[in-house]
Amino acid sequence: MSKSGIVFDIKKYSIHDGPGTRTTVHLKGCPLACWWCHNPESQSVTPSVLFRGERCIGCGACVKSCPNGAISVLDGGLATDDGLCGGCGKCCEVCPPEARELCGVRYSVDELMKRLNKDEIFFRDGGGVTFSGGEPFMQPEFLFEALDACGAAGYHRAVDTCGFVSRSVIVDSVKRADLYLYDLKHMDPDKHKEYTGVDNVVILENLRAISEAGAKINIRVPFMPGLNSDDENIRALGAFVRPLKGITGVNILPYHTVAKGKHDRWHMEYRLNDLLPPTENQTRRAARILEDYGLKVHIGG
Amino acid sequence: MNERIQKLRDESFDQHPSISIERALLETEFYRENEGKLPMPVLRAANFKYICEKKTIYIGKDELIVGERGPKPKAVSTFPELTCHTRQDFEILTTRAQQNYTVAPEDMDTYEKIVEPYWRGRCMRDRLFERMPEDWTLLYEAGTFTEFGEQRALGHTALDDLIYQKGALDLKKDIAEARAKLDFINDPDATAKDEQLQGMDISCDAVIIFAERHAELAEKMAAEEKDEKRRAELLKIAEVCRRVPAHAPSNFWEAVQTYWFVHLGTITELNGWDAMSPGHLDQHLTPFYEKDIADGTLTRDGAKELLSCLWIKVNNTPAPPKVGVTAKESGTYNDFTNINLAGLKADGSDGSSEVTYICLEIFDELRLLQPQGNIQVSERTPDNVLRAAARVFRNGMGYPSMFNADMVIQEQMRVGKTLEDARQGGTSGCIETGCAGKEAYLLHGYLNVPKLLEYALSNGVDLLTGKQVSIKTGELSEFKSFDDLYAAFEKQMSHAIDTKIGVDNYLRYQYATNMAATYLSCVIRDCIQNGKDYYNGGPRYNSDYIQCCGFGTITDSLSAIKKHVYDEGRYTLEEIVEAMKANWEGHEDMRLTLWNKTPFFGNDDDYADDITRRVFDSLFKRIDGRRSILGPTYHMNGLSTTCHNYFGQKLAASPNGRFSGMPESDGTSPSHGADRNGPTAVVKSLAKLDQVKTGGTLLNQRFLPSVLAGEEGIEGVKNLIRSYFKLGGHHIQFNVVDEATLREAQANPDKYRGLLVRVAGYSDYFVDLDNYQQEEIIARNAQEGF
Repeated sequence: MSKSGIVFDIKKYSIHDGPGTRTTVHLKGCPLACWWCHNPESQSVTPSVLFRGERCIGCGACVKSCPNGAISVLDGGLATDDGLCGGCGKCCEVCPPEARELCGVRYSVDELMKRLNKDEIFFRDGGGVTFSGGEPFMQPEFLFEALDACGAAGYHRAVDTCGFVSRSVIVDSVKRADLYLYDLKHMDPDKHKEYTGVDNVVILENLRAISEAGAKINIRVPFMPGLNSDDENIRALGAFVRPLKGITGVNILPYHTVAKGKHDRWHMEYRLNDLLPPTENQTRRAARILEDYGLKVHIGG
Repeated sequence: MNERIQKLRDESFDQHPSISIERALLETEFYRENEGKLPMPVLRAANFKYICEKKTIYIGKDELIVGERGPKPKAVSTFPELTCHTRQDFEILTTRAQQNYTVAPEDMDTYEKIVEPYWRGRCMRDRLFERMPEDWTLLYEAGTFTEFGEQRALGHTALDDLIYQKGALDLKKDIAEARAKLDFINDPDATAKDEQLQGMDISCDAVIIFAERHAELAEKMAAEEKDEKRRAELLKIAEVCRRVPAHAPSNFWEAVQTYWFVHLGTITELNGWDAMSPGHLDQHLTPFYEKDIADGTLTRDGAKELLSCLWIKVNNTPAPPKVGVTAKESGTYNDFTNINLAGLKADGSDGSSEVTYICLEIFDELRLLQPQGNIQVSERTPDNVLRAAARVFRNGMGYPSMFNADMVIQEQMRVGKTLEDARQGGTSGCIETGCAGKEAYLLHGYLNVPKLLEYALSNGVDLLTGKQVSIKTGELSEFKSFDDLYAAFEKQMSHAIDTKIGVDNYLRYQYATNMAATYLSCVIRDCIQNGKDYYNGGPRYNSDYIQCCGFGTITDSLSAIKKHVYDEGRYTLEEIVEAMKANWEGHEDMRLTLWNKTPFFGNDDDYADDITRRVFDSLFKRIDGRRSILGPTYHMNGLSTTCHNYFGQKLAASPNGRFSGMPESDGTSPSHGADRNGPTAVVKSLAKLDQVKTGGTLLNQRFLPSVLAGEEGIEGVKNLIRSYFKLGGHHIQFNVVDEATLREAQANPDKYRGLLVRVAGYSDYFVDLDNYQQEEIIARNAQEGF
């Protein structure tokens, strides 16, 4: 039996997650909790049931389906006891309007490969598979076996990581990945901790370590006006990255408000309600600074 | 675009279409005098010549390429010999919500007094409807199929390079030779051939006269012209019109004018052909372009200007409007001229050239309703051609569309065309494969495939009217397995197709005996040598098509029944049909379960895609190789134009959870909102159909502009197209527009008059579509890509 892991999304026709046309596998679980997280529902490792109340037609199919009796009718609406929910997804299977959505499905590597093999023809332009998250290194055994299987199939492999992972694991992954998409969210440890929940020491050291180990790395900077867009931070980033080996370029990812919609949909608090996307001038200024450090900069994914 | 083109373009864009009754009056005059005196092909040809001799000639200010079908731009002729408009039709046309046509009140009077009395009962449409069997009428009125040929002359037509090699005088020589070879002693058809060839000969005279009248007018205008530069241009126009199409063209200007005169000739002779197209225009013009550039007699800009003039001419020529209910509902006035670019030459080498890129630039700059263009993409086509095309279609107007040239060739070879001929073939109209310049390919109408399942579930009753319109194929209780139900569906399919083909063959015979297209026959290869008309087996190749609609809707409906009734037993067939009859009222949970919990077409899911394949095979078995009056010429294709909207209005609620009256899936695309796994999954599903067995399939994809932004966007879509074509796909096209823009256009139509969107195998102005069609386009699932 191959290893299994929890996947919360498989996105086809990804053209911004590495070279060529790719299929991106999103693994569940993340050690960070960034304010601007695009997939806030993916932060926990275990499968969870998401509920969109506005779609519910009150048919009660979910109540009957739950093996643990976690769902009950309360005041004419539905109430789910999260303590009783085992994340089996039976209620999602029977929910006619798809008001209930299972976030996180267990896949064996074999099952995952069957899905990925369907897209083989699209990878021939230099594309391949990107493992993203959450944070893919939260499920290292599954990730490694999936990377090996993709390697055997001849697919280009990219790993999109926040870098907050065990040193030995990430260094060990270098021989299995053709490219890292490596996020650098802030160069200041305190600021980093404020916005993401963890400081950046491990992240920066890991970056240096995989660079030494021979990794090819594309640096990705979520560009958040007022949070990490100041010249000082960008210069610090340039200075840190410039001496590293194997850097293929830096992508500046201008903030956009998609994340707000996601937070609203899942009724999660969003701390950046008033934040606007950067202007073209702001983005271009940051790009120029990084270019001064001899880096190849690309704006966008 | 230079000042001249900007001006001509804006005039064409702003010109409101109108109806000209000139052609109808000339024809009525001619027929009154001559009908019964001349053999049919000669009568048709002499009628055409009479029109060419008498019609108003127009040369507009600053034009370089000249000629209009009507007396001025966008003045559309009518064809009472085919379908005769009534006063009521004209009143609808002047007032309908969609693009309307101006008709002068005095013209309505004249038409009612002079034209209608002569043609009523004589025109093709009246003759056809008199003879329709009851089975056909029941199915037709219930929206089971449509019938081409009841409004316009049958046939899709594109040209090859013949007209650039032979002038009308050369064709006359060929005709004389063919006549000289006729064997009146041993060939029982010799007299019929002789009459046909006489007609063709007269048709050649007609176009020469038509061109010479332009030369005379240009000379007259030159004599009065004060501006020296324009005087020189007018004299040049006169010189060109004296030479072509009588002689083969000798330079780029003459070649472009040649095409336009030939195009005008064929669409003046008859209201033809669902589409008239030049075929591989870039390949045809490249030798002239290269020679003139080498001689120093032409610049790139000069060539672009002349070609732009041709584009504007095509845009000046809207389709003649229809009659009856179609006049009210069919908003489009597109005449479906579709220019093929790139592809392969007859010898198999890459057909793209500098002219290809010039044409793409013109499409992007002029943004007209017509002509529209497509790229024939072979494995041998350079990536840069695709990139250039993607940079045009990402601007949102829906063209150029993309075709798989290698498949288009295979499709033709499967039905017996030679490799060289197949390579010169391509696409005309929307997505229809044909052997340009060598084939009559007649489309006979759309088949509402999902409606056939409705009949299987209702024992032949139209659920919208309660009327028994089709055969009885069993009560629901008799369908013990999915295969039992499927067998009933196939019986309904056989009945509809047999009924349709019976009538199509009758129509084809009527055209062959009453509506010779003698001029078109001169420019389609082998008609002269065979002494036979375009409609009567004259061309080298002859095909008949039935266009099968609603692959997504039928697959999803069958898949829903298979899964929820037969595999999982969640519902009984009776429960689903009851809910369908109630249009899901009181059954929303069932509807949502069917809609959300069924494997649908377009997701690379074999559960659904195997059903699509099965339906495809059932249709193929019942259509391909069926016999017309010319032999086993029937084939299927998967085009819906806008008919999926009409068919949707005629379809009760369907088992996939679709409400009654909502559109069906278009072409061979997935149902609206059913494709939930992105464009790669869509093309994988489509590719499971053995598309080479068709005369074309149609895949619409709506992309948000952001997906095509930047170089990654271009490379991504190029790879998507290449991959789909490697898998055996025939065609893909893109609507690149976001919903907000379309909603804004609905609210402020005046601000968005120029917003072209992909409708079916063609684009139309969004604000000219009725609300139902607008909503249908908005409902198409937008691929976000990431």
